[in-house]
Amino acid sequence: MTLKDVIRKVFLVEIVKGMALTFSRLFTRPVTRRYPKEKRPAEPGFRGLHALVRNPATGDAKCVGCGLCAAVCPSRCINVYTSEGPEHQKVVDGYEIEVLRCVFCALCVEACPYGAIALTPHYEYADYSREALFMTKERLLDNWDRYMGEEGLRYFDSFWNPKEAHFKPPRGQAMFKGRIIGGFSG
Amino acid sequence: MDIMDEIRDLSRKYPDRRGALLPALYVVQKEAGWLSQEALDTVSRALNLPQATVKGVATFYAMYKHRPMGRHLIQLCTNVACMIMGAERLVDLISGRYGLEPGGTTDDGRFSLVIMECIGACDRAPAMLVDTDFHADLTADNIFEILEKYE
Amino acid sequence: MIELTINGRKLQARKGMTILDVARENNIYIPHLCWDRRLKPYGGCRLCLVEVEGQRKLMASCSSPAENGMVVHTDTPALRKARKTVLELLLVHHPLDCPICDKAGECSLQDLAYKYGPSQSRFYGERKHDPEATSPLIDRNPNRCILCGRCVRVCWEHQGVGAINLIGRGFKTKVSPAFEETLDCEFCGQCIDACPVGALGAKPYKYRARAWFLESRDSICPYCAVGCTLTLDVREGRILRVRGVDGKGVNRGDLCGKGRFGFDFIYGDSRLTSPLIRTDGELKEVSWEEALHYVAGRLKAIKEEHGPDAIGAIGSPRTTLEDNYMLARFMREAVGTDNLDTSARLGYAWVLKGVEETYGIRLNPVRLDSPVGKDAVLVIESDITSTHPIFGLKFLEAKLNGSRLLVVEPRKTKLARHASAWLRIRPGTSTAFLNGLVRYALAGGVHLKKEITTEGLEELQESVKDYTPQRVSEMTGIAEDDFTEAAREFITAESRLLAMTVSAAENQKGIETVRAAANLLMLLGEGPEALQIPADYSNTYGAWLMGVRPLGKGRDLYGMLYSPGAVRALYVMGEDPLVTMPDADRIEEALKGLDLLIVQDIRMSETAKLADVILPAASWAEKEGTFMNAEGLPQPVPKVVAATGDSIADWMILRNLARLMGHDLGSMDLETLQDEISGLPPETGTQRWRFAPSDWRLKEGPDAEYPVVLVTGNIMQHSGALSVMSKSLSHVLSDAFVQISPEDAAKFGVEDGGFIRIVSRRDSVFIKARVSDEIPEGMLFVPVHFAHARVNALTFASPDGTAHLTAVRLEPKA
Repeated sequence: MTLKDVIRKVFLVEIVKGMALTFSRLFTRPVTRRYPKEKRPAEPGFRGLHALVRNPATGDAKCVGCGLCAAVCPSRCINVYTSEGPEHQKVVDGYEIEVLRCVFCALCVEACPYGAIALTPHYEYADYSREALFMTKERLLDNWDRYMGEEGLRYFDSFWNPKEAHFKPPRGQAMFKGRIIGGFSG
Repeated sequence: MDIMDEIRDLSRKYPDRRGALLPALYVVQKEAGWLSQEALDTVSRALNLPQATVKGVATFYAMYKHRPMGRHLIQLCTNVACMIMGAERLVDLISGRYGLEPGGTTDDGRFSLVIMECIGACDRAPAMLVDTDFHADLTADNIFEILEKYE
Repeated sequence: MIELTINGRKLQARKGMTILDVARENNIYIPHLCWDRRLKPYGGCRLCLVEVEGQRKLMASCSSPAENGMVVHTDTPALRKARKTVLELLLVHHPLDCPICDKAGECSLQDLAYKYGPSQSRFYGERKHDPEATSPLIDRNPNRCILCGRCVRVCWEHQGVGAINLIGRGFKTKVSPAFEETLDCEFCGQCIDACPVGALGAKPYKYRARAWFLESRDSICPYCAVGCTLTLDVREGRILRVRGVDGKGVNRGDLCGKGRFGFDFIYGDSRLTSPLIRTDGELKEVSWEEALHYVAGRLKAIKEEHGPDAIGAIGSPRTTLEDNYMLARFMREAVGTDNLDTSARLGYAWVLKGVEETYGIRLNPVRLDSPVGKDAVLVIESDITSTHPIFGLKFLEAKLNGSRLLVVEPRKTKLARHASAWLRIRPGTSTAFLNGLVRYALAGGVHLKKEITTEGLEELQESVKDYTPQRVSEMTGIAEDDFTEAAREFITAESRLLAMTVSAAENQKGIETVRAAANLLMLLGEGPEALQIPADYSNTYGAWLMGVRPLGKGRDLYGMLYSPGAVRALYVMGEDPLVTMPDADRIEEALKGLDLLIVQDIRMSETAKLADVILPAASWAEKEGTFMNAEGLPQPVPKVVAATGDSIADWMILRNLARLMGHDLGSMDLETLQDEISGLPPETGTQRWRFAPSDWRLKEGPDAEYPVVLVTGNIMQHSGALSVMSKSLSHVLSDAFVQISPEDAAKFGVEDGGFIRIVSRRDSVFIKARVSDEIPEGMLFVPVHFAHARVNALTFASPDGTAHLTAVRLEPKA
C-alpha cells in the first residue's frame, strides 16, 4: 500500500467524490419517467398490440384471407379461417392471433399484400387471463378502432406503408401488385 | 340420303372417327349455312364423339359459323397484298351499300360479310369468295356487278 | 439402347422415350405445364424447351424423342430467357388474384414465375369470363386458365369422357362443356388434379384453407376394391380434401369421384355418437359400460337357453381386416358358433366357388393392370368403369394401346361407348352367350391351338350342344353374324382376358356365368389369371380371408337372413342388409322376429332402426387398420382424425364384449392383432382344372304378366349404402331413380322425371323414372343405394348362387 492510498482511505476521498456526484444530480432534470402516470409515446415502427385494418369503404376488415401472414409467422400464432360466401366470394370467418405466442417480428405486416394487419402503438395489454390475450377477428378490428385513430394511421402510414402501393421488389422477384379482376371487394 | 348415314359413310374413309370430324361438320353446315346446337349434336351422335369435342373443334376453325348466315357469304381478304390494292375501301363500299358491318348479315338475309385472312390470290389482289365462287381483281366498279348476281 | 448427354451427364434411354422422360428418370429438372405422364405429348406450353447441340431451334423436350448421341442442355441463359418470355406471355391474361386463389402455394405457374422471373407481364390483356358457379363439386374459373389443355385431355384421353373442351379460339378460348351448360359428367375430378393453376378446383374445398395450412396423410379409399391411395389434406383435425398424387399407390394417382369427394361421409348427419339401447320401444342413449353389459348378458342368456347356434353374425366388407378378424374370433370363441357371413355371400362367394369348381383354386385375386397388352378383352355384362372406376380405366388404356375391346352389355356404358365391338345383349343372358362361345370353339368353328386334356370334356360338350349361334342369337338378342364375329375374334386372339363383376348389388349374373366363363377360358388353354372378377368393396376380399364366413356347418347369410326364426340373436357389424341385400321384406321379417338384434355401425342405418342395441363404431380415417384390395394386397389405413362422439373401433368393442362374456380373446392391441393376422395360414389350393357344365336359365324371366326385367347395380357416384352419407356425392345424385328406355317409356306412358310404380312378384315401389337411351327396350336399371326407394323389396335372394334377375311390370302414375 502506498502513502497515497493511505491518505485516500483516511480522508474518505472516494466517498466524498461519490457524494459530490449525488449532490450535483439533485439539481438536474430526472431521466426516468414515473411510468403508469407518465406514458412514453411510441415511436414510428413500434410493434405493439395487433390490429386488423378496417376498410372504411366496407366497414369490415381489409383482410382477404390469403393466409400469407400465417405462412410467414415464425411462432405459428396466426390462424385464418375462410369460407365461400353467398356470392361465391371469399369470406374471412375468423382471424385469430395468440398474442402470448407472438414474438413481434412483424413479418406478418410485411407479408400482407393489402396492408390489412397492423401492429398498433398500444403496449399496455397485460392481463391475468390467457383468454384476454387471444385475439379474435372482432377484437382485432376493435383494436384498430381503439388504438389507431388519426394519429395511429399517420404512424402506420409513415412506417408500415401498404406495400401494394410503393414497394418495389428486387429485380426479377415475383410479387403481387394488387390488381384483382372480379371476385371480392376491398 | 339421311345426314347421319352421310356422316357415317364419310367416317369410313378415315382411320378414326375424329378424323372425319371436319368433313362431317362441313356436311351439316351445308344444310343450314351455319352450325346450330342441333347440327353439332347430330355430328356428335353420328360419330360417337362427345359434344364438347365436336364443339371445340368447330369453334377453333373460322370456316365454321356459329350464327345464322345470309343466303350468300362474302369472304373478302384484307391481308397485306389485298390491303395495298384497296381492299379496305371495298369493305367500306359494301358496308355502305348493303348496310353490312364486317361479321354481320343484311336485314333481308341476303348477304353476310366476313373478313378473311389470305385466300392465296395475292397475284390478283384484291380477291374474295362469294359462297364457293372465287372473284379476283376487284375494283370499286366491278364489285357490285359481281355481287348483284347473287340474289 | 440410346445414349445421350444431358447437362454433361451421359445417360441411357430406351427407344420411344422423350428427352423429358429421360430427364425425369434421372432427376434432371425441366419445367413443364402441359405435360402429364398419362397423356400423349402435347407440346403446348413451350416451357420444357431445351437446347440440343446442332439444332438451331430450341426444342420442346416433352415431344422430342431422345436420340443416340444427342447433347442436351436444360439450363442455359438462352433457355432461361425463353422460359421467362413464355411465362410473361402466359401472364398477359392471368389474373394475379393469388391471395384469394385456392391454388396459391401449390400452383405451378406461381412457382415458375417465382423461379424464372416476371411477376407481371409487360403486355396486358384482361379476360372477362364469368366464373362458373352452377356445377356441383367442380369449380371452374376460366379467367385463371392458361389453356394448357391438361383437363381436356385427361377427360377425353384418359377418362374417356370428353365432358369439356377448349371452346373458341385465341383470347376468347375457354374450357367448358359444349354449350356452356352445367357440367354433367362423372365428377371424377381428375381435371382438378391435372390443372396446374387455379382454374379448376374442388367446390367442397373452395376457400376453405390455404395449401400451407394443410397436413397430408396417405390413406386407402373406403369404397371399392381397387384400393386406391388417397392423399388426405387435413386441417386442425378435419379432412378438407382428397387428392391423388401422381405415381402413388395402386392407382398411380388416378381417382374417381367417390374417392375424391366421398370422404365426407364420416361427417354425415346420421353418425352415431353413443351406444343406444331400446327400452319400451324407444332407443335411449346409454354408457358403453351399460350397453356392453346388457349385450353380454343377453347373449349369454340366449346361448344358455338355445345354444350358441342360435346366435349369428354378419361382418362387413367396409371395416378393416382387424375388425373382421376380431368378429370371427368373437363368434367362434366367445360365442362358440360358426354362424358368420358377409355380403360377399351374395356375389363374390359365388365367384370363388365357381373358380374352385373349375380351376381348383380357392382364391383368384385380380391384377389391376391385367387388361393392358392383351389382344382381346371381353367384358361380360359389367359396368366396370362405374363399380371399379380405376380398374375400368385400364380397359380404356388397353383399347388405346391397340387391344380389341369386346363389350357384351345391354346398357350403353362407358366401356360400351369405347368398345371395338359392342354386343347389345339382353340382360341376364350372358351365360348363354358364353356357352355359345364354348360350343363355337368346340364345334370347330375355329381351330383350337392346344389339345384339351381337362377333365369333364364330354359333359361340357353335352351341356352346350344346344347353344348354336342361331339359338344364342335368339336367347341373347345379338345378331348371329355379330356373335360369330366376336367369337372368332376372342377365340383366335393371341392373348385374351375375360372380365366381369359379380357383386351383391347386381342381379344379372351368378355362379353359372362364372362357370361358363371359366369353361371357355380353360378350353382356350387360359389359366385363372385370364379371368378377372374383382371383389366388390374395400375389404370384401379381406373379410373373406379373415374367415368371416361359415367354415364348418354354420349358417351362411341365406340361412340367417332369409330363414325367419333360424337364429334368435344377430350381431350385425357395419352392414345394412335392409338396403344392400335383395328381398327386403323377407329380411325385415327375419330381423323383426329376432329376440336380440345388435347393430354395430357408424351410422343410424335402416337395419339399426330395428335394433335392440346399437353400438357406435369409429369409421374409416378414425381408426387404424388394414384394407385388402381385390389384388389381395393389404394396405394400411391410418387414423387421421378423432373418432366421432364416443365411438370406438369395431375390434375394440368386440374385444371388450368378449371379456364381459367371460372369454378373454387375448389380443389386447392392434399390433398383436396384426401379428396374429399375418400368421394366418395362406389359403390358395393348387390348380386342378375341371370343366363345370353350366346351363342358362332365368329363375324369373320376363313373361306376359311381368314383361320387363329389372337390373340392379351400382352407379358411378355411389357405392352401396355408404356413399349416400356423403354430402358432396349427394350434390350429384341424392334421389333414387329408375332408368327406362325411350321405347318402354312410350309404351307404358312414362314421362322423364315422372313417377311410376314398379311391381314385382314380391312387392312394389314408387319411384322416379329417367328416360335414357342408354337402356335397351325391355329393361329397367335401378341403382341400389337409396334406402328410401326400397328397390330391394322387388328382388329376391337366390341361395344357389344363380342370377336373380327380377321380372316386373310397370304402372305409371294414374
